[in-house]
Amino acid sequence: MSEQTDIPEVAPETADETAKPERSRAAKWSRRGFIGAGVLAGGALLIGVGVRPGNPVGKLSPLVAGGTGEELVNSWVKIGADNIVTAIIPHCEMGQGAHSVLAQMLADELDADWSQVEVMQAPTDGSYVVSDTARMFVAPFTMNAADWIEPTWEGLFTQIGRFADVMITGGSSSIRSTGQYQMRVAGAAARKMLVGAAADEWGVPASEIVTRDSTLIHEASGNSAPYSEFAAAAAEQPMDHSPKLKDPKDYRLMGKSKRRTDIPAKVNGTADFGIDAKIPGMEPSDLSYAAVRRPPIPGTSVVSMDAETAKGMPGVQQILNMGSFIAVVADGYWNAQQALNTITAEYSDSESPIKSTADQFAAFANALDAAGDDGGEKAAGRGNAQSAYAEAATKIEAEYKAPFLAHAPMEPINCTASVKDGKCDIWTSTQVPLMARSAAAKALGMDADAITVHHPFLGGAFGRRLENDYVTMAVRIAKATSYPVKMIWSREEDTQKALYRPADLSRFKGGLDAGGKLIAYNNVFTQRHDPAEASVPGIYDIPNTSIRVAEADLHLPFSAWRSVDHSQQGFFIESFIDEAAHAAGADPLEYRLNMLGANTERHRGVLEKVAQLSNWSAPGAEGIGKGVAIVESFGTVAAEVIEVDMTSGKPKLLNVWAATDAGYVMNPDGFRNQIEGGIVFGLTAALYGEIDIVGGAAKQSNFHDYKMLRMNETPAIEVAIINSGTVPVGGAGEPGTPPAAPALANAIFAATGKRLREMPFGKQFA
Amino acid sequence: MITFTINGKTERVDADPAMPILWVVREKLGMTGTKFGCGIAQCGACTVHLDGEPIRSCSMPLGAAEGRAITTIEGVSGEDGELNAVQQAWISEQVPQCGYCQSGQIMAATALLRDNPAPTDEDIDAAMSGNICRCGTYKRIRQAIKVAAGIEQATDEETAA
Amino acid sequence: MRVFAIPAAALATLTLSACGGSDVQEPVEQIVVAEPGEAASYPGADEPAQTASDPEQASE
Repeated sequence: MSEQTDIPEVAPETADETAKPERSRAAKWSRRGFIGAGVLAGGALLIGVGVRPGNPVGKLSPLVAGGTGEELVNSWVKIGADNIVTAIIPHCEMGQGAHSVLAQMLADELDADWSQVEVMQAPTDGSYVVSDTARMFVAPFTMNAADWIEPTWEGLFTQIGRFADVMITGGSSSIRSTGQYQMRVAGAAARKMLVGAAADEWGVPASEIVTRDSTLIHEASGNSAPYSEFAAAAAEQPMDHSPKLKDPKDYRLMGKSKRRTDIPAKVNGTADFGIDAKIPGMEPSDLSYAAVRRPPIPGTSVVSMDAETAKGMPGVQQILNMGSFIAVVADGYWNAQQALNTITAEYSDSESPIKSTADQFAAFANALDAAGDDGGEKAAGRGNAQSAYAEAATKIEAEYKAPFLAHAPMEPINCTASVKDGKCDIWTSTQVPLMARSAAAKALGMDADAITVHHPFLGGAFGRRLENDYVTMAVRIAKATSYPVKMIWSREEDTQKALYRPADLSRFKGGLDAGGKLIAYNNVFTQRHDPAEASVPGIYDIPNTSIRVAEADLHLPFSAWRSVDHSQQGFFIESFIDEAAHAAGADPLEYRLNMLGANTERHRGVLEKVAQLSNWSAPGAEGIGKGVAIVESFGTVAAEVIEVDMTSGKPKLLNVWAATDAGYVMNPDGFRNQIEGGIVFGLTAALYGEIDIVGGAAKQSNFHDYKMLRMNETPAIEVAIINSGTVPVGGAGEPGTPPAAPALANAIFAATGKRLREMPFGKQFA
Repeated sequence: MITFTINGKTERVDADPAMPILWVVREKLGMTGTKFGCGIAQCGACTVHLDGEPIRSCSMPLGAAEGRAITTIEGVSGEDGELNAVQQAWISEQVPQCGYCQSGQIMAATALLRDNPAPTDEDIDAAMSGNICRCGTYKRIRQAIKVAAGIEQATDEETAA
Repeated sequence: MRVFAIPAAALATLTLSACGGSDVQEPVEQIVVAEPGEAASYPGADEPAQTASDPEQASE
């Protein structure tokens, strides 16, 4: 199976000559999105779903066509002469399995033979904008808009998407947006047109034709044919703008644990990641490599450098002071890094008053002090939290701290670029290939059309590769040298000059009535990024709430980190709810169940399921404790129970039980893998994750002091899936992470009576 | 000139003997299945075998390979590309997510099972805890090692639901 | 309804980009030592390997 298909050179005229623009002009907005059709040279059907008005297919054809004999069925699907169906996937594959699952969704609606389905990464072209993802990010409230409003929103968001280069993989959105709103529609539309073509040819009613395993069958007449035979004739069929999608009872691939298509290449060394980029026509040993160093303190620049020693180092080709960073270009990465290590530099002064972690938290505390009990900007609230608190029978207060965190994907940041003859080629691991193209265009002063972004597999991302700082650096180096250069960051550069999950401080005042019910909830914190609802304990019925943000500046730059604000807010909120439960003398899981508000059937379901899985009510041994937390994020509700053994005085993780409700899970095994990984990611942060500021710079540098959970520390993990049928479906990549830290803190409290209000926990038991 | 074999083939490389094996394999020989993760032998992404023993190629100088045999992820499959038991288990248990660390994980697991065909959980911890997986696939790595050892049944595609 | 930060930031950036052209910065200093393909010599071949950019790092 070919995962990474080289994008052929564009040969624009051939496709446009054979396109059928009149069909596209005849197309109109529909609930499911715009569908446009055309044909490739050779007479094959081509349909685009959710792409811009007009006829994009002529332009797209040469980008995705692989050779003669291949037929493009639409911009998301291609059928070859050998009847192989190729799903063209607009999302990046960073381990979340999106390539495979999106292909499953398309192939199911198309009734394709799964053993004959291949996956192709969509070209970095504006027409592969992921409009529904743009929409889910920018205006999620429109996802379930009434039919009459759909055409407007669809058109608007496709335009916004193109303008903003939203070819984005993030927000746990691939399946729930692109899969549901585009891949399935594309598969269903293509199937219907193939059936129509066969019906005309055979002179039988379309309703009598069945499709199975990429074959059209009319039993009464004994006719049958592979899809490839009718791909061209299907182009002449009328388009159904709103093809009927399958009911879940008819799914053959959706909901099944089909093995991921990207995995075979990942067990024999053949999978190509960004860092493995090879320049066509060039031996790897002839390529030049760059090691880079940015100033240690954010916002500063290189004033001068002393490169005398480096100039004489083996293999060195160029030494560059780029202002915002220093680069050494050499005949290999190691030689480049060795030479870079000898360079001394002077940096400009930092304007930030923050020099240390303590300074940063003092800034947070000052902002919270200033906001008091009712200041700052209101994020959410109802009733009167202050007066309810004043009258409460029991009052509790707590202040929680979360540190800065680096993403630390296993593949260090890297980017290969070639800038010559008015063109630029970029090879890199990115979650946002179109934005990377725009960033490069801006840095080079070139038109985006002159830039090609090749983006193979990502060796992890977790939000880090939503940023294009490294793309800008690489193209500037390649432009300066005028020959291709592969820039690789050391792990130290990756850890210390990163963009970070922000630190934060969050203060709570809670009031319980005589019966132990939480009736007042007053919370203020300093960091609000996304999603907006992350700070709101909306699943609970608390009559008086005041949730406010008192913004404070961050010394280290922000970027989205797996689950974004939920990563801190999940810890803050679910720790505080646990404190309330204990103040009430209640069982923490029962307390949560009793407090659930309106429309929380799914939350009740996962809590009850996780209680059963973990045998929650069974008494634990001395020194062993269980803690629970529940967080809804990215459309999925996840409840986790963690069991920890504290008998040695240090936390030893024994078990994690997770119950999840994403509405409907398209690939259960892949979903479980994501939740398992999200839990380990959350536990790593809970036990170890911390980036300190010392002298204005990030302190931790590599895996010896920025620790990761390892095999010997990993607990047993069991994940249960509840398919409640909620629409739209929820995500998989992020929802496993937020409950992990609070569930562990709550478990440690259950085992020891020690309440942990500051992450990470590990060092507090050293 | 340093002479060694890699996956059974003799190579003579003109490079600094102090250069770590990782960069020779990736950049001089163009074999990119072995990955750079940390550069200080902390993560195991660069694990290869030197005379059969798993080593961190990011921290082992080329000079140490003189006259010895290197095996990389590209060399653990059968001659016709047939996957070995560890690789097959990695597929049946659907281990990888991003996959970047998995070459190193498979090299470490292959060496473990060669020396210890029926490892306990403690044996697996001891052999595998030098390899970081940021995606957090440890549970599946453990299971796949047991499947490769024949201790556990492989998960069938149709029963994984 | 608050706008999501990632695309919002991108929108802002790209709006500026679309309206305002480029942000080209030339190197402050460029030292050319050799061209690609010129044979490298290894005078330091006898020195011990040092792979990390931070010399005080521990290893396993």
